[in-house]
Amino acid sequence: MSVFGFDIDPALVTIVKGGTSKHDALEQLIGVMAKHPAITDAGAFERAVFERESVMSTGIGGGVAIPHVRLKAVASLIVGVGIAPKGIDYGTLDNEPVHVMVLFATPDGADKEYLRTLAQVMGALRKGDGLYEKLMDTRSPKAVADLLNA
Amino acid sequence: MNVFIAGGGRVGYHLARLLSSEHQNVTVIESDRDALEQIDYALDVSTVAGDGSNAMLLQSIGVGTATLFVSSMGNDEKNLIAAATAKGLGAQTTVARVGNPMYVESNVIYEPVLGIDYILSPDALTALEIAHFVEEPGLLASESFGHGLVQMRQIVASKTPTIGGKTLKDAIAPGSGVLVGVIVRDDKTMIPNGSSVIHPGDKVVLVGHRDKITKVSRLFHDGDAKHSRVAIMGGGTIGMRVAQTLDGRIKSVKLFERREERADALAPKLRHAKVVCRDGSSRVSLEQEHIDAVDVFIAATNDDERNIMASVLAKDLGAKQAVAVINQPDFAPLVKRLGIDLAVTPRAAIANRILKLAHQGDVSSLAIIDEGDVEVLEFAASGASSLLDRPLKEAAAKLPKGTLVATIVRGDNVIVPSGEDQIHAGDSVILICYADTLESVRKIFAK
Repeated sequence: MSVFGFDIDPALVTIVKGGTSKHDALEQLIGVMAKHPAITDAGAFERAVFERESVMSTGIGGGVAIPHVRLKAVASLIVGVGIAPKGIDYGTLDNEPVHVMVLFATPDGADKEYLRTLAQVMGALRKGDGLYEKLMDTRSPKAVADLLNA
Repeated sequence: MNVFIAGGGRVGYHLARLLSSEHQNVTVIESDRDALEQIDYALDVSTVAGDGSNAMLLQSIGVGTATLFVSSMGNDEKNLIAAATAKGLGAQTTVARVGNPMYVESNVIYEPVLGIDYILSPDALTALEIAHFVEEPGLLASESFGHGLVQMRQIVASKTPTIGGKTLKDAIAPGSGVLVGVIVRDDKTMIPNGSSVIHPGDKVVLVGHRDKITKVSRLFHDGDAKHSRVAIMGGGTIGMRVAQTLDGRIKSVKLFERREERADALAPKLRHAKVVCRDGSSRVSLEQEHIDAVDVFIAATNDDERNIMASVLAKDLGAKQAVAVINQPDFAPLVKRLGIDLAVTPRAAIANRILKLAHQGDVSSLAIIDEGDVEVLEFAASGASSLLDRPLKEAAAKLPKGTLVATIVRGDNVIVPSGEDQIHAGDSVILICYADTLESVRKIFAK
């Protein structure tokens, strides 16, 4: 049983280097996701992510950020994962650096599926349950996917 | 565009004004008869008397046909219900305004559960704007166009390149790849031409190639040192959020909150920032708390007059810069004359954001300057057949007066055009225009 309730494609995982800004980290993650066929308009996808971020930081605290967009340019729900072992200054209210970014791209009208997935992801990433800590030690997209899909 | 606004208070009214000045089709729903009469009298919008969260009413006035529905009544829960109902009835994009920060912070869950597209808080957006001012000194706003190749920056000019009889076209060489697109002076917004001059204190909007814009912006202000010490007056939603955002990111954050109980409640939520239980508008407490060592004083209570007075006092006592939160927009022009560096208006913060969301569909990127008099937009050129393949000086005649073609993006090239340059199909065009001509500009590009 995979941790998120579905398998994560290693192609949708990226490792963010230390010292990367929030903007660049998001861009890196958007970049790997934009190649996925579910994203039909990469420009619109990118704009929507940054637009969401400019309204409110999606850092939810505890080292986790959940950037999320819902738009027509997404054909089916896909989830990208960015791991920053050294942390990103993300401007969260608890001021903790973000180590795990999970970017949700949802098609219009897929709210139920999104919520179910979101609940699973948030539950799995609670600090102290081990997974968050293990993710910190991974150094490759494949290792991240293996951990999440185990 | 077909817009419904539930609630004609400060935010609703301002938004209705902005959208109607763009000649959009706007309906305001308001239960207070006097307020409704005032809107009817002052704005070119339709009005409906009633409770904007009443599902039957929303259904009967055809909210399902809305391209944009905004609920901006005085009650968070009503706004959430109204926006959720409108979405359920078929409105395309829905926005709920809330005051309680909890709703915004949990938007990752609330939005999909309620089916609302955006839950926005004027206070949170205001705090974001203030924190940004502290962290990026001199930079009021920035926006990316042309897939990140083109940047727009709004800055306050602390010096001017147009001295000794020089005009803009002498001061900034045509080859610099950057152009001055908007000047805001004494609350008047204008789109400049080559013979314009810049005064120190003007707000200017620069548009140009992302690699070249920093060099040109240095002509208007010196590379400012980062602000490292701030004092905030008022531990309300805005003040607290600014404190939380800056806490640990800059050297020192001091939050003045005169109510003891509130101060005690805030202190544990901050890690490094210090909560001072004193009146931030009194000379004695400002002096004793070393206001002269502060880079930015931020007056963030919900009392405009107190914010203005305290800012003036703090500057007089040696604070380098002062920011005041101003709710009553009539005060905003006064603020600059009093030497306050930035006035932030919550209703403008949220209205500009909503306006941006409203245009997201047909314009690929948009920036709203100040209170919405001027807008910067990016269009794909392909539809604008009447403008294509002819020198801009001819093509410009097809555009409303005052419209400026700021940059043309062709592949990886960014062109700041002269009258001889041409727009071709496939280009992306960044335009600056007055809000009241936006609809005509949009029509030209929609062909």
